[in-house]
Amino acid sequence: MSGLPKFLLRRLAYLIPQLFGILLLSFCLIKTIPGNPAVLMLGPMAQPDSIAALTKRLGLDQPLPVQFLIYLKDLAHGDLGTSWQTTRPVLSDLIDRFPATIELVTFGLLVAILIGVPLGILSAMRQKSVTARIAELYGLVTGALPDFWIGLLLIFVFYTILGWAPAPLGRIDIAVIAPPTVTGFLTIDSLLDGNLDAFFSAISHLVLPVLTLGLINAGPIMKMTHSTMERMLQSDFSRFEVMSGLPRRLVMRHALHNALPPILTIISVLYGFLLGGAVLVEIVFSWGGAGQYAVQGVLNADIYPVLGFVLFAAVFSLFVYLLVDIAYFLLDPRIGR
Amino acid sequence: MNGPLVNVTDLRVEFPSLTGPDVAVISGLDLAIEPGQVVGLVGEAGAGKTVLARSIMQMVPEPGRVTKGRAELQGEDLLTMSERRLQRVRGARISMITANPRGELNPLLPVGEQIATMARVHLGQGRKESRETARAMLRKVQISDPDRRYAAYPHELSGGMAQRIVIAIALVCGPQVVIADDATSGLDVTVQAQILMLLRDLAREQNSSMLLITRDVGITAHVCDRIAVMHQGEIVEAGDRQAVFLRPAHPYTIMLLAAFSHNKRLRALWSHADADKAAPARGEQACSYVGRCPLAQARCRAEKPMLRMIAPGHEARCHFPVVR
Amino acid sequence: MKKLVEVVGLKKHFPISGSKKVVQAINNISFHVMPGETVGLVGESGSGKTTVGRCLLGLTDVTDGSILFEDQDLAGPKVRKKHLGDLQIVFQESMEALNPRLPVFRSVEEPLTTLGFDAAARAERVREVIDRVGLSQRLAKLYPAELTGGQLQRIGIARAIVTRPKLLVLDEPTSMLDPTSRADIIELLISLQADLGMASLFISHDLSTLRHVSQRVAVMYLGMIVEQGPAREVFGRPRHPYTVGLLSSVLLPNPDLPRPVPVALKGEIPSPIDLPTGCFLASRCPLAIEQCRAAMPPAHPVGEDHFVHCIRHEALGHSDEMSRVFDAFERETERILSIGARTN
Repeated sequence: MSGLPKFLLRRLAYLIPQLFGILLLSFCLIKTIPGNPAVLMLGPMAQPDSIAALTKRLGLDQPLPVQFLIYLKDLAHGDLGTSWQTTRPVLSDLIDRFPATIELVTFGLLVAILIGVPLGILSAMRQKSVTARIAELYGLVTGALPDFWIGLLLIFVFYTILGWAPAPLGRIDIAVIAPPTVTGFLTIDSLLDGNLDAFFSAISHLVLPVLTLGLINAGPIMKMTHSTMERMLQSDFSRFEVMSGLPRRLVMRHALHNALPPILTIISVLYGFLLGGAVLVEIVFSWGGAGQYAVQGVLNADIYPVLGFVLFAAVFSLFVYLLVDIAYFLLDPRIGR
Repeated sequence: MNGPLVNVTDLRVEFPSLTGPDVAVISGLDLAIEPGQVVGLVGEAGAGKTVLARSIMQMVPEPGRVTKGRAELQGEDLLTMSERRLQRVRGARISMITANPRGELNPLLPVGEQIATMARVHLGQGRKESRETARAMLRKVQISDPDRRYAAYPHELSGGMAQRIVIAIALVCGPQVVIADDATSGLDVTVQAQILMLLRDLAREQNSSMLLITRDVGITAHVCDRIAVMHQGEIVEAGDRQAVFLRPAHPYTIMLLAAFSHNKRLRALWSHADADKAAPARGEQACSYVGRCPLAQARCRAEKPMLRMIAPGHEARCHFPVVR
Repeated sequence: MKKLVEVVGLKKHFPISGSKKVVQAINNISFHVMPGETVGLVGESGSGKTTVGRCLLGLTDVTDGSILFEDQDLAGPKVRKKHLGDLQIVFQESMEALNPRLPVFRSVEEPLTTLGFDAAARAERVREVIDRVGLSQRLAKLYPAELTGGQLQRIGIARAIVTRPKLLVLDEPTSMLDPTSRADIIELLISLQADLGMASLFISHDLSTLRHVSQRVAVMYLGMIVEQGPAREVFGRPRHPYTVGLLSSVLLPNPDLPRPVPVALKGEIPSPIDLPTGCFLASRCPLAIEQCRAAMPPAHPVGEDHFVHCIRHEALGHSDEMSRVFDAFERETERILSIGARTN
């Protein structure tokens, strides 16, 4: 694996310019949102001169490039700005909320993989079988149904009617004492604390939103698995393996190995996308995650939470992509050597 | 064991057609391969050579299907064999090599491992033993530095090298028959001959029979014991190589040889390549070559000729074979 | 007589993206074509022979060296434009060179449009060449997908000769065809050349064809011309080990004829990326000595207009074995073909 450090270094070298580009772009885009935060902050009764004073204090009278440079300078000191809505530094807001979103999205994606990959493999293995038809229908349905609707449906069935699930109000029962924050993931923190009550409460709160995300996002994963597996099983090398009398199990395993890169890609893309894309599910379940926080920011011209969220999400996505690249490198001898 | 090792009888393979009834890509085909024999199957593109090879392997390309006939290996019909039993026959007793060696190899597995897998699956060898077998096989196919090449991936190999690996996979279990379908056409001319001779010598050494399928008539003249000429899904002439090349009887065989001549007059006499318009209609009881045949007579349009013996060990599917 | 085309010191290197290395496709070759003459350019895949044709047509720029057409450097301003239509090419797969959405006669007339012919003159010319290549006018109205390989290749030829070129570059025109249509296309090319007085550069790996069609041949190996001279000389008494190896790899369909292997080339063609300093064949050549690996062998004259780049060419002896085999094959085949043929 002598090539891996070099390969990683080359990938990391791209990271900084990528981040810079994302920040620049989102900064410019956010600035196109009409509305002066100073006006919103001071409320409808504010005097023009106090608005002007606040505008100046916030640096909003400066030209855009200068504002961006100031933001970058603060960023270098670990200051992501302040949200005027929560009146707290964006960094600590995000540290509170980001793990909630990641926990939700990670479990959701795991469920999606557990549904999508086996279903995709099965339907590629048996063309025109009942499984393949069901899988096709499933892909169609998940593409057409909005996730929040599934969420509401699950709440209706499992909370309202059956009463199996807890109320869709946050990540843990109010009655349960939350564990001290270590990682921010309630499931992990409660285990670290040895607090099983909190653990089971967190799990039970996770079930419905995770199922919502999992059911919907299994669709694209299944389709990608199906199509790449199908392609690999029809490729010359699979045919040659069958022709050489290798057991079906082995042929399938080799085909899956070859099909993994595209499947990993779609998973990594979904992972990054869901950080923001899960926001409707967060709202439905009052999750209090980072997505909700960012949307509030957008709606109220509170730009620092939005920028901070973009930065967090970008770093997270790039980190996931890096992991995928490493996985590619380990999976496929043709890459990066 | 008496009788041929591989015996294909009255084989018919059909493909659905968009415009009409199913098309028979192979019909009434008989082919026998004796133990240790190298049989050459020649014919132009579209004659059905590859479909025949794949039928014997019981891997007819979709959406084709075998509708009639048998393909026996030592008296056991491959066409009706269970998938489980086939798995034990393929690669172990009958194996196949095709034209695209780099595509045939799993891109993510070291090539030595791919050979070793065969030994593990079919010969029941352990991890260590199978590696030794694979290394020995790499040496046999004359790959230099076999220990290093064992760990190489397919994309690191040249076309000729990849073809040697495919040959190693096909031969490692000592199959009774090897089918080489256009196995050298993708290689450079100076490498082609090397690979062919290697393949023939290895097959001979293991006492494996071989079916060598090719468009290149010249190859078969130097490698094969027996030649079968295929035209539109039928064998039109078969015999030992001396007979077929020096005393060709079917006008189609003669036309194939004429293509090598620079004598314009003689070539024109035997090739009516543009006369396809007069080809017999599908399903018509006529000789399939009648549209292109310079010797065609009324009988050739009225009655389909059978493959019949014209000299000991020499057969032709022609009402008026050229006899010398 | 004045040379029609003269290639001097031609080099073509392709850069490899993300690397400082280059693919050395053509390494300093020189040759010429006289008016009306057929020069065969023979080599295996990767020998750079196709790139030579592309350089001549201006389809790719050259790295170094010059290509003179009627004594004018084609790289000069406006020279190529002046000779537009004088140089034409027939590709290996005409299917790919023809627009699939146009009836083939449209593709045939296209070069004339560039030359500014009016519609009537174009139609006239197209009719003429379609006849000339032995196709019916009806076929010309069909689309490429409706034609057979042999017919497509005839269209490709029609398209190339429609401008009445002085030089026709034939890039493996028959390698994708069945033996039968191959022979017909070659016959057509020979007769066209006799009638129209064109010169041609026949690029092929098929030695028995080249032996038949060309007056002179150049043998290419890894972007070098290793031997060139009159076809009869080169095929009759080859002087380069590679030429001999190439000739002995031809398998003729006659089991009685011996397959002489005076020079058995080992291994495979090395990659054209990191070429050694000495003779490129040294790693495969049974005659190679230390000196071969030291420097690129210069051209040795071995006969009238016959050059070989090999310092060991004398060790090769004067082998004419292969030529005798070819001739014997031809005689034997004629004898076989004569039997049973109707002589009407």
